[in-house]
Amino acid sequence: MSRVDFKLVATCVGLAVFCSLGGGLAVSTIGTGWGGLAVVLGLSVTCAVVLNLVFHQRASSQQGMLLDRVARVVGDSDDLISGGSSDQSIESPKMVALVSSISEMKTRLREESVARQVGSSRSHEILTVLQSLSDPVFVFDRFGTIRLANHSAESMVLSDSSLEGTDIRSIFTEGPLSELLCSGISEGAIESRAVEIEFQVPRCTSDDERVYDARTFSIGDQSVGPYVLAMRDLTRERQISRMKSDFVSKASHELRTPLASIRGYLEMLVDGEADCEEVRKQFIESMLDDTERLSSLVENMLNISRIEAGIVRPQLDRSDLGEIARHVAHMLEPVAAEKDIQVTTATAPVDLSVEGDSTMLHEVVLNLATNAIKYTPDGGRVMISVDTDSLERSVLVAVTDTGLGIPLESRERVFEKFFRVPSYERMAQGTGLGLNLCRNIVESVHQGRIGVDSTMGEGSRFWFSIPMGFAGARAA
Amino acid sequence: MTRGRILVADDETHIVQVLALKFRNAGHEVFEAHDGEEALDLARRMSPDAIVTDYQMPFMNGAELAEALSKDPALCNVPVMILTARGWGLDETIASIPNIRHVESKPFSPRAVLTLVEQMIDERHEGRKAA
Repeated sequence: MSRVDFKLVATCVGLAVFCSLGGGLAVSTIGTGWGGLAVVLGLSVTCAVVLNLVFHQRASSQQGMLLDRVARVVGDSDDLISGGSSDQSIESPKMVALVSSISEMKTRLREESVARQVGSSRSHEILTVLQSLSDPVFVFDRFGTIRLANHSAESMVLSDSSLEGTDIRSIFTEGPLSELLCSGISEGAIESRAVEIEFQVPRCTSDDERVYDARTFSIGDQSVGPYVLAMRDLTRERQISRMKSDFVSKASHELRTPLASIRGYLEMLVDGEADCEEVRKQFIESMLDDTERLSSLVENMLNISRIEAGIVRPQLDRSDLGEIARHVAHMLEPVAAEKDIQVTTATAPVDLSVEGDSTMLHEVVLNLATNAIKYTPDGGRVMISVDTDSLERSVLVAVTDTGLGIPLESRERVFEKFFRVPSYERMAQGTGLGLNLCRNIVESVHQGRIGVDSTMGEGSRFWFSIPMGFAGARAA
Repeated sequence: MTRGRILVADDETHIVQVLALKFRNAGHEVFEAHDGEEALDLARRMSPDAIVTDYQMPFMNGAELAEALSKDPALCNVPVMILTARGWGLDETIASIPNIRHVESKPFSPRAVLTLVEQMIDERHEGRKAA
């Protein structure tokens, strides 16, 4: 019993003794009988009421202090145990233990709350990173049900809504990935494996087939999951690789062909196969042609590479495209005359200057006009016209011929490297790089446009336009 | 050695000129074509003993030409040599075409080509005799 409780009991006992003595004195004074008994009873009841009030007040006071202490411990106050109470009645070991337990609980709750906040923030970060990935990621459970799919995954399957809840096997229905998923889910464990798949985008044509590297792994226990399917789109990589391979193969073809002729002629000369001076002379002239062709091929390849790599430094100046057109027409007169082709120019009587590299622009006009002569039958006509396009503030050069025309399916491809119109290949030799070089000079160096219009049986019109004055000419 | 009838097909006139002269100087009869379709037409008309063709030609490439010949009962046994300036990629294309006997890369030696073509002609004649 605490000191506080002892004081309380002593006070109560004292009060009871006082009431009993008072009652005895009253009985002796008033005398015996019913009146005395009534007085004693009244005093006793009064005493009990007073005692009850005293105990109740005391208990209420202690309860209030206890609640106050608990409230302070549970609240934000740092005063956890001592609490600063002046009342010693609640400093009992049980009370201290209770307050200590509550305090510990509060600390634990605080720590858990902080951990939850950190965890929530971390989850949000991871989810944001996952959603921002350009590669598709699926998270699915051991039943194959997708629990999470990032935006790339949804785009991959062209899904307008969330994929959560979808069976992953319904997305990958064939090939090695489908087999891996189906067997893994049915056997209760998905292997950690990498497979390469070709994925046909739903509701699209076969042109939309994409190639992915797909990797599966388990986040937790391999037999429980959840599992992750992380994919990487290899389509563009494969396309570039194919283009490079194609380029090397075509370049190889173009380089080896004239080399084969030169080697053949040389061996024939060494073996004495050319039995007269005229044949020997013809062999040597053919070798010179092939050497020229090789030289031109290498030159074109280097020029294109330099422009594509951005290491060309154009000499930008005022370039008069009208003058360039007239110069090219004059240059080509002898070649055209061999085929009885008439080369004419039509230049508008206005300023036809642009800001550009004169040498490069001369190369473009020369290439277009040479092609026109090459692929125009004998007796035809080639015209180089130059005019301004006031709407676009550019100068337009067009080379029009009366040749065979270019089939529709080849028109888009004539500016590709090494592409040659099949029906033209027999008409003249070419590197297949001239028009690609023209496109690079016009579009990459001068920010202009180049194109071709053609009508089968009537002829073609190759054109390009260069902005009159531009600040965007690449000088890198 | 048997003198034969040889069809040379290439869209590069210089190559045709070199090979044709080499074969003629060796005593063979030579037919010249400058694309695949022309070569197929000449083969059907001239029934050559051997065909030397470029792979990359207009209208019909060398493999397509060989395949067309292999399906023609009159020409299916005519041996074909393919000349190619491509670096790689022919093996799969030609693997299933039975009448292609040799693939030679450009630049080639006319001397070596003549030797191989004469072997093909001899083998064909021996095969005919055995039959």
